[in-house]
This record gives sequence, C-alpha cells and structure tokens, in this order.
Amino acid sequence: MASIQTNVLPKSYTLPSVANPSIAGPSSSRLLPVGPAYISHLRLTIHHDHSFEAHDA
Amino acid sequence: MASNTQNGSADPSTEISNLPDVVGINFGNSFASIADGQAECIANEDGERQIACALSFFGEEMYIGSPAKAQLVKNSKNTIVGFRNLLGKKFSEIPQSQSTASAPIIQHPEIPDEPAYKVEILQPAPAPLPKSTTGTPAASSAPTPRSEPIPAERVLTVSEVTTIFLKSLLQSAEDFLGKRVQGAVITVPSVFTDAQKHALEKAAKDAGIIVYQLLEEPAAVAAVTTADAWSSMLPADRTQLIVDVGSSSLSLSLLALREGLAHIIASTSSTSTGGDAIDSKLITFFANEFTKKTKTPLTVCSETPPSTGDARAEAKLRLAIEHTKRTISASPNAATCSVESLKDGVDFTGNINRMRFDMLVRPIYDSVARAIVDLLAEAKVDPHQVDEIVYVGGTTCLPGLDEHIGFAGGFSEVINTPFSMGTVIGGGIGDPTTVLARGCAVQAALIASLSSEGEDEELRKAFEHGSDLVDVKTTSKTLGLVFPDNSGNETGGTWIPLVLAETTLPARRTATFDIGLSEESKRFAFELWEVSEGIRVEKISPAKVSPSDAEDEEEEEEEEIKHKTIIKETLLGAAEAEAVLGIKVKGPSKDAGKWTTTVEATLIVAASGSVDVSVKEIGKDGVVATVKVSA
Ligand SMILES: Nc1ncnc2c1ncn2[C@@H]1O[C@H](COP(=O)(O)OP(=O)(O)OP(=O)(O)O)[C@@H](O)[C@H]1O
Ligand SMILES: [Mg+2]
Repeated sequence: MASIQTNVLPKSYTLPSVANPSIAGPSSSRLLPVGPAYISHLRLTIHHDHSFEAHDA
Repeated sequence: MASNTQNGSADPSTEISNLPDVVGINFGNSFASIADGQAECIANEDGERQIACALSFFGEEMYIGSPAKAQLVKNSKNTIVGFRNLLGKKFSEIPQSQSTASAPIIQHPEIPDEPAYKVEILQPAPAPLPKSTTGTPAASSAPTPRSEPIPAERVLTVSEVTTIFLKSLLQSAEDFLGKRVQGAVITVPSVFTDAQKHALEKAAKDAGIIVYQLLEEPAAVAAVTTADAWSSMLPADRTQLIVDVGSSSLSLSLLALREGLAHIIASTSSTSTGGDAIDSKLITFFANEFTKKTKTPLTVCSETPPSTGDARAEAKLRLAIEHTKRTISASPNAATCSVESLKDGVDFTGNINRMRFDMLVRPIYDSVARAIVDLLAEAKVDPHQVDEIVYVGGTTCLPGLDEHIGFAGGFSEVINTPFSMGTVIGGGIGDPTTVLARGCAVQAALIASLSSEGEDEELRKAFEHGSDLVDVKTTSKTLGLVFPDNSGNETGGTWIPLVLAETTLPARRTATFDIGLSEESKRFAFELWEVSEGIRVEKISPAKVSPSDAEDEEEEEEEEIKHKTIIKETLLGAAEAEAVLGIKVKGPSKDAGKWTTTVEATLIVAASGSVDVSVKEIGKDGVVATVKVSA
C-alpha cells in the first residue's frame, strides 16, 4: 500500500466549474550550470525541443 | 510523498566514474585546495590540504603556501598574499590604503594602470663559461667557485603571481596522482566581474591548466549537495542556504534545489566579516594574557604598531592561532597557542576553551546571523521554510557559529546542517573546507565524461561562461492536486504537491498513491490548484508552573510555534472518473474492508506554461482522468 491514501469522495461533491485559468506567470531564473540534472535539462531543451516524450523515446 | 521522477535521468555515460586525471581546484583569496573526487583534498608536498595563497621571495628562494606565509614575520615586504581578489582589476580600482603587512601593490613600471608587486631577490650570478668536457678526466673536475648572487628587483603582475601559484597547485596534484592532469574546474567567487573571470581563466591557462569550467562557488556547492552521497534523508526538492565564511568575506546564497537542478533565489556578500576579524579578537586576547603573565608590554591590531617588535609579535600570533582555531573546531577541550620568543625573547603559551572563545568572537557570529536574517527578510522567505544550511569556508568549521546561527537566525529546531547530520567531523562529506574543491572535481569528471563530438560537443559549450542556456523559466507558485473530502482541513481534502514553486520548466513530476473508494461508489475526483506556502504562528502560553518548579519561572514568556500552511489560490481544473481496478483491503490490517485503487499522477508544465495532468490507475485497462490547462 502506498504511503499516501486519500479519503473517500463525499457523495455530494460536484466538479467545480473553472473559468479560463492559467498558471501564474513563470519567473526568469539562471540555472547553476552544474551536475547531471543540468545535462539532462540541456538534452531536453536542445535536442528534444522541450518535449518529455521525445526525450524518453 | 511517493516517488518523484527526475526531469529525465542522466545517461549512464554521464555518471561519475573514476577519472582521477581531472581535478577540482578551490582557489580562495587566502587558501586553495585541490580534489580528485575522493573524500579528502590532496595534500601538497608540505602535507597541507588547505594551501595558503602566499608567495614569498627570500634571496634566491621562492616559497609557496605555508612556508611563504611564515615569511610574513621577518620578510613581509617580499611576501605576497591576497592576490586572487585583485585579478582582472586595474591599479586605479584598488584602494591604496591596504595593509603593509605584506608586499605593497604598486603601479607596474611599464604597463599602464596595471597593479603589480615589487620584490627584492638575489639573482644567481652569471654562470662561468662551460668548460669543454672532452679529454678532461672526470674525477679531477673540481667545483668551480660560485660567484656571489646579485641583488635585484623583480616586478610581478597579479596575473603572473596567480600563474605561479596555480602552477604549483597543478604540480602538487600531478605529483600526488602520478599522472598528468587532463582538465580542471576552478571556483570563482560569484561577485567576480567578467573581466576578473577572464583574468583568472587566462592565468590558469598560462599555468598549463586546461580549464573545463569556472564554477561559481554556490554552483560548486550544489554539485556536491545534489549528489546522492550528500544525504538520503533530504528531499530532492528543497530550499538550501549556503553560508560561506572565509577569512575576509561572507557570502550567503539561498538556493532552490529541484530534483538536481539549482538556481539562486537570493544572495549577498560582504567583506567586513570573516576569519580575519576572529583572528584580531583572538590575538588581542592572547597579547593581553602575555602581558599579564610576563609583564612585557605588547600592542597588537593597531593601525600603527608602536615597534617592529610589536608588529613581528602580531605576525607570529597570527600564524600561531591558525592552529588554535582548528583545535577549537575539532575538539571541545581547551586549545593552546604557543609562540617561542613572542616579544623581547619571551616565550608565550596560553589557552582558551570553547565557551570563552565563543564569547570572545560573539560579535562576528552576530554579524553573520544578522546578514542571514536580512537576506531571508529581503527574499521574503521565512527561516522555517529553509530546509537545509550548508557551510563553506574555514570559519564555518566552528561549532559555536552553527549553534549561534541556529537560534539567532530563527530556524526550525530540526533544520539540517552538516553539524546536525554529523558530517563535519573528521573530514566528512560536510567538511566546509573541502566542499568547494570536491564540487569542482565532481563537475570536472562530469564534463570529462562528455565526448567532444556530436550532441555532446554542444553540451560542453554550455559550460563556458556566458552561455545563455542557463536562462530558464521557473514556476512562481506550487502546483498540486486536492482530493476533496469531508475532513474540513485547510485544503478541503488530501493535498498532493507535485511541482513546487521555483521549478525549472519544462518540468515533470510523478507521484504514486492510493485513492479511497467506497463499497457503493468507485467515483473519485481531484482538483488542480495553484497554491502558496505560508507560515502560521501559534502562540502557546506555558503551562502553569507549579511552585516546586520555581527555577523555571523566568520562562513564563509565550512560546511561538510555527506551522507550514498551504493557501489555495487558483483553481486550474478538475476531473472525475469511475475507478475500475479498485480492491477491497483484506486481512487483519486496520484498513481491512476499505476500498482503494492505486494511481500514478503525472503533472507536466511545459516551457510555455501549459499544464497537463493525468491520474491513471496502475494496471491493465485502468481508468485515466486528465486535466489540461493552456498557457
Ligand atoms: N578548522 C577551522 N576552524 C576555524 N577556522 C578555520 C578552520 N580552518 C580554516 N579556518 C579559517 O578560515 C579562513 C579561511 O577560509 P577559506 O579558506 O574559506 O577562505 P578563502 O575562501 O580563501 O577567503 P575568502 O573567502 O575570505 O576570500 C581563515 O581565517 C582560517 O583561519
Ligand atoms: Mg572563500
């Protein structure tokens, strides 16, 4: 059994309606150019056009 | 939290294998160290692992490292220290009132606006004409009397000094490894300008070093602290404060670590706090002891020493307390300071225990703590949101500093520091004096593992300074799922954070967990929320003290307890589905009779800011519920 378990959904629950949302504007940062994760990030962005599917393929 | 997968994992080819022909060099202003990927730093021929950045000329000899530093007592005007910070600077940019306890900085006689040092040396006399060896019986060749060396002046630029010094580091490394060094990564302070970086790179190249990368100090730290060996206890997504206290500078960096990727959230540095200030306190303390014990007057740490005797005594004490401080750091026992013929031929031995030491240098501890408080306040990060403190620089070896920062900084009692994790003692992985060099060594091995063709060639370029590949977008707020229930808690259900604020895009995170179902209904639903993390302060008045506990009565103050909170901000979407793979828990467990289904939730935030969520039952033909949010 996984370490997290959610409770049973209340019967009365109805899906809320969502009005045209989007995430808060991303911020700009400078990565520290270090470590294997940085190389993975570069492979993803340079060679796989930011796509996880292409990267995993 | 269940498993989170990294932003794609590195290929095995980039795994750090044993490649001891590359090294990491920490080039500080006062000490340098070299690492080859092992736990300890490499010792030079004097057995030093913290190698003093000093160069001294005495007669025909040139000394480097601690033998050069020792020359500060009697040969200070030919002894060069503090050169790293001057790299890449113009003469006119350097304040002229700098200490005269070492070779002064002068305007280079030929190069305009170039800082340099002038030292007195003895040049070997021109060798006599070589005799012809032919026909001369070897045994009868008596040594030619050598003529006296000639006094001369030598002018060295800051670059030349650096090159000589770095070359000696390279030599030490090659002697130790028994092979040529193929490449190196070298630290550079974050405050260095481009001109200074270029000057350092050039000086290193002139020393024969193949520079793979100049790594800013916080990045060198991240290379170590994002590696598995650092700690299996700490989450891969965390906020880390790096506290670097060297001899003449204090640098603080607040880092967001996200599955091995790191960036700086806030940073600051100053040159008024450091080991030098501690030294002055300690020297004054011992000088007073000396006068008390021996009735010999001694004035130290004054702008203008009353006599050469005082100046020399101070220089001797400065050298001696290096050992005293290290003893204070390493053991709870009293530390001694001994100097033969400190002044007027009178010897000195004194000692100080940790408690007295910590009291003495409290003002320095205080200014470090104050700088931390200021940085966090400016970054709007509560000390309780800092998960880890990492120490760098010799001065942070002092356990009293860690204790002081812990409480004066307002951190959680369970904050992770190398002291709390027990990794400082005995040159462990948390040893503040080796972290930078080791980080550079790990990074050098990583870069060496990239081939120099094709795709990798382009990746290598990304390590050159000035590469814009480091410019990324990061999330501003934390994204996660709420599974609604009747619990009435602050999030209205079970909150499963997936992509934290400050995560580099594109980002993908996965979590596996169980969803509760019921006998009658297999329906489940979730909402995708953007949240902000806060801190709630709870005030607790102490329990009434019984008369028998009279001693504790002073602690009547209200106690504050901080709790982390989640504030739901924007609902981004919601989805529901009927589980098809639910199972009823059997057996004696307390959950027996409950229905659950195991799912894998994946959240992807694209570089554009669009979001894809899928919650999928694990198993054949499992149901999938998805939410899409456009950018
Ligand atoms: N074990 C120790 N305990 C206490 N202090 C130490 C210890 N080891 C070194 N130091 C002190 O740390 C200081 C040197 O630190 P470090 O090597 O990090 O400085 P640096 O990076 O060369 O200089 P800076 O960062 O100030 O430009 C010196 O003051 C030294 O006396
Ligand atoms: Mg330093």
